[in-house]
Amino acid sequence: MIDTLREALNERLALDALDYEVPKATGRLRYMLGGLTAFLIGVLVVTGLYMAQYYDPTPRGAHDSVLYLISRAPLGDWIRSIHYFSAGGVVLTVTAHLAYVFWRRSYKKPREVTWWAGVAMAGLIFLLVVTGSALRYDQEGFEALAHFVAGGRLTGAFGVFFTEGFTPSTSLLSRIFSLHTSLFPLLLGLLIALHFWLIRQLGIHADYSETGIFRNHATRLAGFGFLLFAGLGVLAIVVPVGIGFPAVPGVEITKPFWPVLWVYGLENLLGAWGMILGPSIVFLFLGLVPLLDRGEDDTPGRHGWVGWVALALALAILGLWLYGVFGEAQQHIGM
Amino acid sequence: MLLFAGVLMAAVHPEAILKSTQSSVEAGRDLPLVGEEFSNGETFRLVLLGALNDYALGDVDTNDEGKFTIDLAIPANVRPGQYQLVAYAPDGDRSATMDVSVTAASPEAAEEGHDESMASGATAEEMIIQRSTTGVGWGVIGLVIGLAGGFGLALLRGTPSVEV
Repeated sequence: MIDTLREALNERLALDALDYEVPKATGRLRYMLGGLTAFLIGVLVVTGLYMAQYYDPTPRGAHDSVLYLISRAPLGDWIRSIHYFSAGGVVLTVTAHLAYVFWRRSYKKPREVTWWAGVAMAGLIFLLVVTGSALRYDQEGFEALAHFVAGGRLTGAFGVFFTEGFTPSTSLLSRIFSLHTSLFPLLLGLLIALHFWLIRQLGIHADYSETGIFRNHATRLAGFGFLLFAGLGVLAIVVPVGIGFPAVPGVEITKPFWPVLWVYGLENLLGAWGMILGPSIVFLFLGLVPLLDRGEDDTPGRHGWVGWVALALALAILGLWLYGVFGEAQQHIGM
Repeated sequence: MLLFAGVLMAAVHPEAILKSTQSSVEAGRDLPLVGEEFSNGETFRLVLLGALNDYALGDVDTNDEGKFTIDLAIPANVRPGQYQLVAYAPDGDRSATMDVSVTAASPEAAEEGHDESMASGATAEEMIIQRSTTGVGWGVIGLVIGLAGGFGLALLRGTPSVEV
């Protein structure tokens, strides 16, 4: 019965096309970090769509609508918590994926574009995290929004979109909501498609002397993904995500969502410019990596000076993150 | 044009209408409210539906023309925020609804019992919220987690293991 169903699906959905060879090593968890990131992005899309049915992206209604979602919408509290933990999970998996791909030096010719697509996706995920954290519109969310305004003012014409002066016809919160739920996910989807296409065409950067089939890799990946989802579901029950009190404008007393705390730490040192300089330096370096580490040799871990720069950046981010976590809350944008 | 400026109205029932010259009201103050096109000579229950709480505001009787005009007292303990003001018919149906924004109570109005925790200054603390997942909700959550975990394990057990 099951075999008959499987054959029928194979024939009609052309699933045999998934039976191409991949390195056997792809069955290991470290080769599934990118796939797990994609899985979690799927979870974020589904839970985000649900939350969007209840969210009011206006300054007057946003906070109340989140309260409604938490306290009254069916399963709203649980789904929102899953969304929150999935966002954190994506940051962890994409960081681990990026670090492993860097260590493997998989960005070298002919995979430069695959790497750049990945870096662009990591940048988009960073933006999705910061835009998402503003939407709760409590004190923390309001301050996140105020950082967009401050950053927009600092960067002049480049940042005018993030200022209240861009247009009086709609609020900045509504525009941030629009970015978070339409433009950024759309770009992310296109980049994921490009990333996967290039991996399919160029092959996985691993030893092909022993191979398996992609279908098994994908099946195991889905298995890990569903287990991860179940774990997030339990976490969402045990540690439901809260919301702060309605924002009081002109005050800066909160710390941001944990993935952004390294930027917060840098702001402690450099002021508001920290939020521009920190991410810019990190993503600029990541984008330049294939151009800086050239040559035929692609032995993992032998990056030369590029590796030392990457290590220094990673340690700096870790140090800033710890400073952000344990340092006292400070004012950065002169609200 | 001016006649309609500032007049908010919304009707759920095809006829009944709630309207006010104000789109917002301070907690502890009165909201001028007009009802039209309701059933004649009946009693309607007025309720404020909010994100966290609902507030029963009392009953109102319509006249022979299906109208009423009242100054609706908004209790001082109503939490500031966006609300739907709903008029329920005696059979429980929603007869009419309108959006209204409630702003924080003035100190004088707060003496009537405004919730101090909601009038706090800026804080990084989180709100204490009554989460209301029902028994059915917990059942659905358990089912989803169980299915996801079971499905994940089945997929992992159903595919060849790999080198370690």
